[in-house]
Amino acid sequence: MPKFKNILLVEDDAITKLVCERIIKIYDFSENIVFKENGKEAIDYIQELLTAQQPLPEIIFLDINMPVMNGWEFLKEYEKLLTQCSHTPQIFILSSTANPEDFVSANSFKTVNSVLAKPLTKEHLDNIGGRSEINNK
Amino acid sequence: MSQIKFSYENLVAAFLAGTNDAYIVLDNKFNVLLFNEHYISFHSTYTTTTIAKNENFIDSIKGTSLHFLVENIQQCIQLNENKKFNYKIPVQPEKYFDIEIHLLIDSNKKVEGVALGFFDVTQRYKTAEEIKKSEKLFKALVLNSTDAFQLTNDELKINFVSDSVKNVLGYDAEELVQSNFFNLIHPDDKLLISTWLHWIIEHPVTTHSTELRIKNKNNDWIYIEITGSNLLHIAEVEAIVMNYRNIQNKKLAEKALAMAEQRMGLLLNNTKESFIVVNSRLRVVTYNKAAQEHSPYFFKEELQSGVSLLSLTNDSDMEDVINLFEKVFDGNEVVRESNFTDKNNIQHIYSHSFRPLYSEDEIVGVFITSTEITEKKLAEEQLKFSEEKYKTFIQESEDAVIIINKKDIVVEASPLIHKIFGYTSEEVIGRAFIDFIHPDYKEVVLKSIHNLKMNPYEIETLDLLLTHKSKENIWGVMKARNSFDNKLIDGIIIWIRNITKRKLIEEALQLSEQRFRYLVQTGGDMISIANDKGALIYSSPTVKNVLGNDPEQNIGKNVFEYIHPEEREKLMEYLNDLILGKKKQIRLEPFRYLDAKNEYRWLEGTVTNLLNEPAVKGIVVNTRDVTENKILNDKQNILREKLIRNNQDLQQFSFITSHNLRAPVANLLGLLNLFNKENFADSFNQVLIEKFEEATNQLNTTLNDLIEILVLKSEKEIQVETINLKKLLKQVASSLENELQESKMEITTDFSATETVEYNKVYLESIMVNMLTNSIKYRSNKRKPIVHISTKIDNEYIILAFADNGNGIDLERYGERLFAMYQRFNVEKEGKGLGLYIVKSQVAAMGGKIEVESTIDIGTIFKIYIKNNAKV
Repeated sequence: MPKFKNILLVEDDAITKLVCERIIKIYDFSENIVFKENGKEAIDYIQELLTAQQPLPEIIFLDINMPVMNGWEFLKEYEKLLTQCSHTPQIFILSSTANPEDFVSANSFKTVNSVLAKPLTKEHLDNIGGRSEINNK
Repeated sequence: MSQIKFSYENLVAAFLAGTNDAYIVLDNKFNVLLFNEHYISFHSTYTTTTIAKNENFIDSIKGTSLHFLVENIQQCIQLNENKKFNYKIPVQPEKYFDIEIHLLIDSNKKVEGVALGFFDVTQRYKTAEEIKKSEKLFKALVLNSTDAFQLTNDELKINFVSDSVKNVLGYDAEELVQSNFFNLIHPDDKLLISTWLHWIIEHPVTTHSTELRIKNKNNDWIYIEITGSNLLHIAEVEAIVMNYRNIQNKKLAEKALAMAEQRMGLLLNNTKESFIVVNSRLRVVTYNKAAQEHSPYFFKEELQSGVSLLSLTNDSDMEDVINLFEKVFDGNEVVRESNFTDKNNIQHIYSHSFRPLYSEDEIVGVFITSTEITEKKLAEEQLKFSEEKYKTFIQESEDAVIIINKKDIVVEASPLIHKIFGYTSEEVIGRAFIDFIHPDYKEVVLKSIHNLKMNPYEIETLDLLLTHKSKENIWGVMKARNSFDNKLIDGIIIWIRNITKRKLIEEALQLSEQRFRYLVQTGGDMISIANDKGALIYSSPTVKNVLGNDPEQNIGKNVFEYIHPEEREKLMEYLNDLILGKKKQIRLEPFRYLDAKNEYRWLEGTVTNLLNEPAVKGIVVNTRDVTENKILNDKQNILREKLIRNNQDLQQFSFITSHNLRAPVANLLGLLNLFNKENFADSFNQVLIEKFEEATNQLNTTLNDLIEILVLKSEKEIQVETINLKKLLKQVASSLENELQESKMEITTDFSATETVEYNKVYLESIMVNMLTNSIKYRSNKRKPIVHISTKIDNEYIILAFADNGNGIDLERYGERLFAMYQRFNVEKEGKGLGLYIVKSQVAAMGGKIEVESTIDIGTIFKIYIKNNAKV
């Protein structure tokens, strides 16, 4: 049984997208995956779900370096929307950053669970808690 | 008388025999014819020879005391005259003779002979002489005499009056003779003179005197004293003889004396002092009223004239009194005191003085005066007491006190003199005050003392140098007051205090003031004092050096007017804090202040609240000019910031770079992970291999970019050459031919300002490529894309501008990240996002800058600033 029903992957790099998709599928991490190219598209999507009163994805994998709206900008907008939702998706930043500042910034967002270093691996997925765990958080 | 005829010879002989005189007759040959007996002795007396008949007379008298006769005889014969003369024969015995030389003439008128007669008139002469002498004397006396000598009859008719009457009455003698003396007498004294006259007449020969008034020639009444005696019965006189003199002055003197005596008497009798005069036997001669009144105090019986003083003396005092008088009669003046308690039990103290009275060197009596000195005594006691107090006061005082007299000589000096001058009081007294003053100050001290004598109510104070006994100079302050009116002092009081210490302190203070002044005047710091409103009270002279302001000129103005508006508020806040007491001193960070040229200078310093400090009473601002410093600092700051930015840049660069290297590597890893190692033929593996290639290429490109940038960054010497812009553009356009064609982009140029630039060719080419590429990439599909390239000169720079009419950039949103690494703004557009980063790096490396202006949907202008070296 897949751990999660819906997850969102916000990433513009094609290879990264391919790798993530494959890994998630192989390890039955999630039933559905939604791909968004950049922060803007992602925010719009979230907004749509909220308006339609659809459930939000449980997990969001978020890249930082994206055109139009990068990961930080997305998070800012996203936390503004948080008030409107009851369930809060776990957000994992997926990045190749080495900059300590990025880790500090990540911590400043309470919606961010942690920062994962690319590439996404089985180990990463195992560490992400299941539904029951989410409920208990 | 009947005439008897006798013979001539007989007559002669008789005559000759009968006379007492000496006669001799000579013939005409001078032979002796005859002589009488008297002549014999006469002749022998004077010639020491004997005369004989027929002897030549001339020969016999030649060379003798009678020699003188020769000439006389000859003279007579010559002149044919008789001669009678008087002669004093100068031989002892001195006799006077009347000598007659008588020529005997016969009927024929011929000289028959000479007869000489010698009549001894010595006695008569002597008498006459005497008379003459006394006459002379008399005349002299009488003429010069102050007495008039007068002879009158018994009725006072003046028969004779001496010439000296002129001295007495002013009349000439002639005027008075034959007039009656009585008429000159004062009416009130006529009785007096009558009485006097009567007495005289009654008592002949005895003299009698009286005083009366007589009218003198000036018609003044004058007093004369007249003495006369009755000599009417004396044959030769037969007159009342009197002499009188003017006693007017004497009378006046007597009157004056009488008045004085009267006055004296009044005084004596009205004075409280008692006077007693006793004679040499201590008998009371006279005394005054006071003595009488006081006698009960002093004597056991009442004072009376004639009484012996000793009989009035108490027995207990007898011995003392006797001793006392013994002393007095030795010529000493003695003073005694006695006291006496009256019936009211009040004590009285008396002082008695006993003085010897002299009359022609002999002591004939004693003059005793007694005075009550009770009050005086009390005053003396008090004075002594206060003198003691005064002395103590002087001694206890810090000041030495000197009293100088009119001649500026020290008459008194307090013991403190020693402490101050080193001299003892004795050494100072009797010396001139000026002696102790330093020469430089002598004049001013003298002037001061003189001023006091002129203005007795002033007090003179002055600082002066004194010369100590040890020759050392000491500073003193002297205060002097004129106290001549005070009998106790009768001089000028001078107080002197040693102020050497004070002077030293003053000098030290002066020194420190000078030090302060130097510091304040010559330092680079400005010291200003303002009041609590900010108005300037004081500015140190250094204001001139620093700001060019005249220290005086801005006094009263508010300092905030001169402070730059941007810093004003903060400084006002500081002032407020100070005044409220929140802080005592505040460090002022640099602020701008207007100088004399009306330009701003940067100042920094400290401000301290000394409003409560009595010596200051203000806010003290201590500032220095840091304009140079500030400029330097600012430059440094700019530099520092640049460095930090650079550093940050580099950091960023490293992170970005590491990220951009890791990304493809991550991808490779991810792909590898998916690789089916068990079944290489897996179709998915094929996909993976393709992706592998992609990722590897991506990695390679990134590495290349990196290297390019690193090279760019590390390039120390950038080659610069003159580049023709038109030419370069042609080259670049040709390399972008496809893209330009596809986009239908039009390029317009305006290189009128300058056609060439001094630049690195590679960079400029890269810049152009990037600019054009971006313009193409972000062109608007609503209009025909145009890019306009132009040059403009702006001071030190040439501006190379690329202006397009594309979509524009939301600078508000992206402005910061525009030139950053790997920033892409449009998802559709290709590119890694390094383009502008590289451009910026290149521009910066050439010492220029890049700016962008943009409006959404209108277009974008990139301005590249190139250093204009041509100017240099």
